[in-house]
Order: sequence, then structure tokens, then C-alpha cells
Amino acid sequence: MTQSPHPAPAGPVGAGPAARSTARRGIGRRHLLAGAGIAGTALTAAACSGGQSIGGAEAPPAAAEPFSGTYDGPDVTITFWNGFTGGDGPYMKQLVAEFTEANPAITVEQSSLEWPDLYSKVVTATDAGSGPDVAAMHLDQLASFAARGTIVPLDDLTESLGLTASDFTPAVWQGGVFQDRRYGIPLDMFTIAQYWSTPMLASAGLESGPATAEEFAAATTALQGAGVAAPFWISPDNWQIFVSLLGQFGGSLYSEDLTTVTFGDEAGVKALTWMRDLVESGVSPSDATDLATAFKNGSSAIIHELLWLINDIEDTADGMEYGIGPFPMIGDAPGVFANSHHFALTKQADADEDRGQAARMFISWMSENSATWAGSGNIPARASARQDVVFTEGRQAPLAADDVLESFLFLQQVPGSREIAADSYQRAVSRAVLGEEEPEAALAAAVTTAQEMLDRNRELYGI
Amino acid sequence: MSTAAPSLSPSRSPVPVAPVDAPRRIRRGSPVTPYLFIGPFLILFAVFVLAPILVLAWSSTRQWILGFDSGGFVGGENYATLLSGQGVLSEEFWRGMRVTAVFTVLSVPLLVTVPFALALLLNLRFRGRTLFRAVYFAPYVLGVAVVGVLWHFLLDARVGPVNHLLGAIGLPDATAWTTSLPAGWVSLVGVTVWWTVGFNAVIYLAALQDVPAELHEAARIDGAGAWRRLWAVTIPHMRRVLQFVVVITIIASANMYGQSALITQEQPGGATRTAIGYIAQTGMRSYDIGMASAMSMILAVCLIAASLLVNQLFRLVGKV
Repeated sequence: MTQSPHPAPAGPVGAGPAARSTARRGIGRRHLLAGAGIAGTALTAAACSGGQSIGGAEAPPAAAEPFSGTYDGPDVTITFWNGFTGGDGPYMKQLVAEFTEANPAITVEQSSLEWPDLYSKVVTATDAGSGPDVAAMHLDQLASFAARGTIVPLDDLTESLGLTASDFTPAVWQGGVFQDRRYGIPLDMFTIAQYWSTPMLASAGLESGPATAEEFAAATTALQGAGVAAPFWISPDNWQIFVSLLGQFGGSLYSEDLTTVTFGDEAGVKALTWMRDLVESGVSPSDATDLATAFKNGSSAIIHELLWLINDIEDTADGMEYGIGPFPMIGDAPGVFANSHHFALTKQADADEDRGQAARMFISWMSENSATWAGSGNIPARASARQDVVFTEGRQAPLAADDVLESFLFLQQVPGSREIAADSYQRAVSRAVLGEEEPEAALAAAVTTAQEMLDRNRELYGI
Repeated sequence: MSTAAPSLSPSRSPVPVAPVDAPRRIRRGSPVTPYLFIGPFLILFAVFVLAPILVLAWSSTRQWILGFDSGGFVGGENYATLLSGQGVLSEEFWRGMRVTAVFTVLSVPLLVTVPFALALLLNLRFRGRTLFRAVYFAPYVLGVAVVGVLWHFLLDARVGPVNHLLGAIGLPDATAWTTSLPAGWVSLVGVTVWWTVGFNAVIYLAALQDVPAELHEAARIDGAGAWRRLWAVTIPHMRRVLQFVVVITIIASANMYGQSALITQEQPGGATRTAIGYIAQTGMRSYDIGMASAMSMILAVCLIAASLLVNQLFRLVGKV
């Protein structure tokens, strides 16, 4: 970005020599500006058309210039889409405002839309050149959009900034890689945590939530003895618990080369059976769906839920006495479902040199200064941000102990993974927890479905 | 207008006006006029109905997945895949079609008869009639998102007020309204009836007010009771409206999506995901435009067939 020959799309500055020659011929200033405008528009159009073609599984040509770590081009506007529409929205707004203050040359147009809307619109919008330059995406979605060429590799950015796994955590850093290329810079991490009602546990003589399978069984028995009929509630959409237990019993959703579906193996059956047994033994009521309400109104003493519940309790049940800790080790090794919001760069940004550089600047700055983001209830991905007092005093801080972070299991980078999940293991979890089908049979059916979808996708995506 | 007033002006013109011309000068309007009248609607119809249908038909014959230079024209291959009954796409699609069919069969009779009964009641003269008309129509103004989120909470098996109230009056209080079948059907159909009953009722009400009072009076003089008058006067008079209501209700029910996405959230295990639900997943989340288009075409053909069948049935009944 030291010497951009690329004229600015608007403004007389970019039209330098032409301006002088026409002025001498006596054409008024208005014509001159109009001419510059037309030239600018033409350039923008030309630049956009480069990234318009639908298709091409391979990434479009990367930005010509390596990212230098700063932005010194002309004023530019970039578009940033994210799905932070809940309690996390204000924190992202604040972070973007801080960025604009520190980088006055870059204007950020932020759009917050529901995640499903974002994901359903981003492909077509980017193809049409009216999408985002930078998009926040979940880690498990990167492969789907990378395979379509909607988002582009960021290896140039990480190389020029010298970012490595040690700036984040190894797992979340590695999680943003698809087919040996990096497609996302992690902003945060979130996971399922164990929440417990302090007074209810105290009534059973317990101080904190159980950490192992034995402790879990003892705790639920003690709570039932103390008059809590159903101390731990599980719901048919608790597939994150299944993914956690699957890892704990030594299994995985897909084989390491991502060609074979493996969640139906022994580990999967053990995991799902443990979940089903909770309902059969009466530890959890059947057909529970609204766990957060059950926890807040004192029906369930312990639940496993994502981190959004922290802010939710603050908003709707302020003053509730509860404790929070890592997901227990039920299987043979620690492990817990985790996901992460990543910054991804779209091909639309790279259609224009300045926007591409500005977008990279935005991503790099946001990652570096993400301590503010801890207020959203998530765990900052950046190691330096986890040292910040904003985070260390947060409710979720106990989940960022080194051994807990090491147990995070991120979903594998499989294109179309959400559609596969919805029609396979998430359905199996639902059917088994609801008692519609035995865990083994439910998983076997799900594996058949998932394998067929995976094979079809691999053929389509050419991987 | 010289022919109209020849006598009023002094006859200075030496040219006689041929009287045979007179009838030909009656204004019949320009031949373009009717087209100008339907023009605005025709444009909207062409842009928003006709063109999408044509694009849909075209895209259903292609392998078209957003983000890929995929195969192009494949003829009837998408249809063949869907109709084969083999493979995930076909199985899931027909599972969705079955869910849609079950919902339609369960909901349409209720959505045709309950609003009719309601309209008969609301057509009587009683105090507060306008208030009741508004009350029954009120839920219809809510969006599906509001209705879905509201009832998902109300019907929750464990923490929802519905089961709590049922328990309070001594009825079973552990029915899994949103996570088991057939209770899930009761929820979906029940909520849909509650939600849309006002719309059909308003249509019926308008039709009821069109039934001539003299006919009722004549029937009453002939000694016909209320029941007899309903069958012999009211219903025959409303045949066209009934037919219309049945057809649009079938179409509306077959397009059900929001209720199962929000109230049952496709539980248990995807068993209440409708055809539209799977089309949305295929087209909007998997970006498989070709396959989703073919599914939409199949659903559309089924609906056209159902509508024709209903029209035919009404014609037969009318002849009796």
C-alpha cells in the first residue's frame, strides 16, 4: 500500500492531469467535477466486474499488494455485516466506533442482521457487489463460504502481521483453516458452560457444580434427596452436549480427512445413551425445551447452556444466585463444544485495492483491540484481550483457564456442515432424547444421511 | 358536431350532410382502452407472478448451486432425483410433503367450518356484535413470528402456562405439545385456526349479508326452520364463496412454514418440517437453486391439481 496507482473513485484529486488540461481549455469547474465523477464511476464499475462472476470454487485473485499493517490510502467506506443483534450488539457498535475514531480515513457501514439472514444473503449480495466487505461468521460456516469463493484467504494478512497461534489459542487458530488456507481471524470463543443454582446446591450440601461423571451422578442423587425432583434438565436440541461428550469418549463427527462420518461409532452411542439415560432415570423431565426458564424459575438446579445465558440472567433475573463453571468430564477425557465468531474478508472487498486494504486494517485492528468485546459475554480469542480487566472481572472468566481452553472442541471445517448437522446428528439427538428411537438406531440412520450429504457435497465442491 | 345541430346554425353550408353517417358516429371507445385499464395490473402480474414462474420453471431444469459453475442444463434430472424416492433429497422432500399433506387435511375442514359457524353467530343481531367481530379478527393481524414465539412459550410442556392451567383444573398436565406427535398436530392446527379464523369469517360474513332477506322470509312463511333455511337458502347462495374459501385455505395450509419452524421447531426430530421448510433449507441455506426450484414446481403442480379437484367437486355438488 506504499504506492497505490489506483485513483480514488471520486473527487478531483484523482483526476489530476486531466483536470489541468481541460481547465486550460476553459471548461468550467462543474464539467471538470462531472468528468471526474464519471471516470470514478467507470473505475469502480470496472473494479467490481472483476469479482462479479458466479462460481469458481477456487479463490479469486488475491489483492495485488501485501497488507502492510496500516492504511494510508484515501478516505474509503467499507461495509461490515454481523449477526450481533442481541445483548452483544451494543458492544460491537462500541468497538466499531472506537475503530473509526482511531482510523478516521475509514468509514465503516455496519449492518446487524439475524445470523440466518446474514448467511442466506451474503452469497448473492457479494456476487452482486452489494454485500459486505467484511463479515462476521461462525467458525463452522467458514468452509461453506470459502468453498463458494464468497470469502477469500487471509494468509497475506496474518503473514504480514506475524500473527500466530500463540496470539490466540491453538484450537481456535487452527479452526479458521480450510484446505490449508486461513479464512477467518477469530474475534471470540463461546462454549457451553455448567450453570448451577447456588441455594439449591447448598440445600443438598454441595458447594459447586460437579466436575466428573461420578460427581454428577452423586450431585443429582443428593439434589433429588433434598427434594429437587428433576435436578438437571436436558432438551432435544442439546446437540452441543452430544458433540462435547462425543469428543470426551474419543470420537469425532467426521474422520480427520473429512471424508467419512464417524459420529455413529461407539463414542457416539455412549454419548447419546448417557443423555437418554438422564431422561429415563428421571433426572431430567421428558420434553423439556425451555431450559433457561426452568433454571431461572428454580425448576432445574443445573443446566448446560451457551454463554448467552450470562447476560440473559442479568437482564431478566438480576440478583439470581448462581454459579458457573466448565462443562463436566463425563467421558474419558476433557472436551467441550466450542464455537467462535470470526472476521472474514469477502471477494467484494478485494475487487477494489483501497477497500481491500481498509478491510484488512479493520479486521486486524478489531482483533487487536477486542477487550471491549468481553462485555458481550463471550471469551475474547486474542490472548492479550483475555488479560484485560474487562474480561478477567467478567462472569465467564473461569471458563478461560488454560486447561478449559485446551479442552475446546471446535466443529470441523466441512462445507455445508450446518445442513448436514440439521438433518443428521441434531435429529438423532432430538429423537433419542425424546425417546422416539434408541440412541444406536437413531445414530445409525443419521450416519447414513450425513454420509450421503457429505459425499454429494464433496463431489459438488470438488474436494 | 355539425350533424348534431344543423338547424341551430344558419344553413350556409352548401355541402349536405349525409344522414347515413349519423349512426356510425356513435362513440364506441378506442380499442386500446381495455388494455390501458388492465395495463397496470398486467405489468405487476407479469413482473411479480409470471416472470418468477417462468424463471422457476427454467431454473428447475438446471443444476444450479450458488457459488459454483455447476452443470448447467440437466433437463428433467432434478425431477427424476426427487421422484426416485432414493437418496436424502428425495426422502426429505417427500417427508416434508407428507407433513404438509397431513397438516392440510387436518386444518382445512376446521378452517372452513369453524369460521362459517362463527360468521353465522356474528351475523345475528346482539349487543356488542362489532366488538366480537373485531375480537375474532384480531389474531389475524399478528405476524407469524409473533404467533410462533408466543405459542412456543405458551405450549411448552414443562414451563408453559397451557399445561399449568390444564393441571389446575385437573386435566393431564404433561402433554408434550411441541415435542411429540400427535400432540404437535393439535398445537399446529389449533394455533393456525386461532390465528386465521377471523380472515375466513370476514369473507363468510360479507357473503352472508348478500343472501337476500326475502328468500329467508319466504322460507320462513313456508314453515322452514332455522336448520332447513341454512341448508336450503344460505348455503346454496354461498356456493361460490365456499368454493373460494376452500381453495385459498388449501393453498394457505399447504404453504405452512412459520408455525412448524417456530412452535414445534420441527420437533420431534424433524417430523414436523413441511415441504416449504425443506425447500427453504435447500434453496436458502444450501443454495441449491435448481433442486429447490424443482421441489417448488412439484408442490405447485400438486396445489393446482388440488384446486382443480375442488372446483370439479363443487361443480358436481352444484348439479345435484
